[in-house]
Amino acid sequence: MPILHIEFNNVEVKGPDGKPVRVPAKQVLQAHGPRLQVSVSVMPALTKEVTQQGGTVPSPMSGFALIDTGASTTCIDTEIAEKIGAPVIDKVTMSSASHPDTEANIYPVRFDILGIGLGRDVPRCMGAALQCQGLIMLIGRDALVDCSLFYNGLTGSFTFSI
Amino acid sequence: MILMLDQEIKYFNEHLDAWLKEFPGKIALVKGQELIGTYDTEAEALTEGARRYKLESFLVRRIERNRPEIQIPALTLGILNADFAHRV
Repeated sequence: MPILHIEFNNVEVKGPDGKPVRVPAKQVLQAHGPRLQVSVSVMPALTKEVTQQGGTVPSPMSGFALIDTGASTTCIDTEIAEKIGAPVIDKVTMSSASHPDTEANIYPVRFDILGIGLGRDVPRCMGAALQCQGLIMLIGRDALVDCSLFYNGLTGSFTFSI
Repeated sequence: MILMLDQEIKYFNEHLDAWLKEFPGKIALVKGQELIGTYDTEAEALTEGARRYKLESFLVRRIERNRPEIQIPALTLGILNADFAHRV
């Protein structure tokens, strides 16, 4: 089973005097959470049907995904879902602090972690506005059922495998 | 954001009682005002939907009374939008 280990070493920010300051790995992990670089695409089962009939499917798109153990369902940025050509297959109603009873689309998608060949289909991925936070996806517990995650706050690292 | 499937969801809700008797627990594939089929798995319904409609919208939903609850505190509480005082 391939294992991904990410450690947030050598992260620098500008200090008050403009000089670079190294930030401890544990502080970076606390601020950003367990993020992965992923590629998102339409679920391959659908892509296969479309291409077999001579149709085309837009290219996958890449960006950051946050592993969110508090989320029961994986979310994809709505704009990204539309750009990759994912069809809307259902709708759900969400209540949020700022927008009560907002409707959200459901898309059949797949994510692949860049560079290591790990990925998973997400047949019911909810659309949400995530790009404003620098994310294209929240990986929720529906995807994590087949994964292991070890979060090490002490060393500012996490280990993930599917 | 474009929201679709209003027609399909209305049709699904209108027929849910009857379908619960006939196809309980199956996955329904609905397009417009037509039940295209019922399937054992979501993957089967999605594949058939893509075969017929390519990447157009179509409804795929389990035939059950209560839909699973979705919990995403980061979105519902607006945590992702919090403005932290100390940025890294």
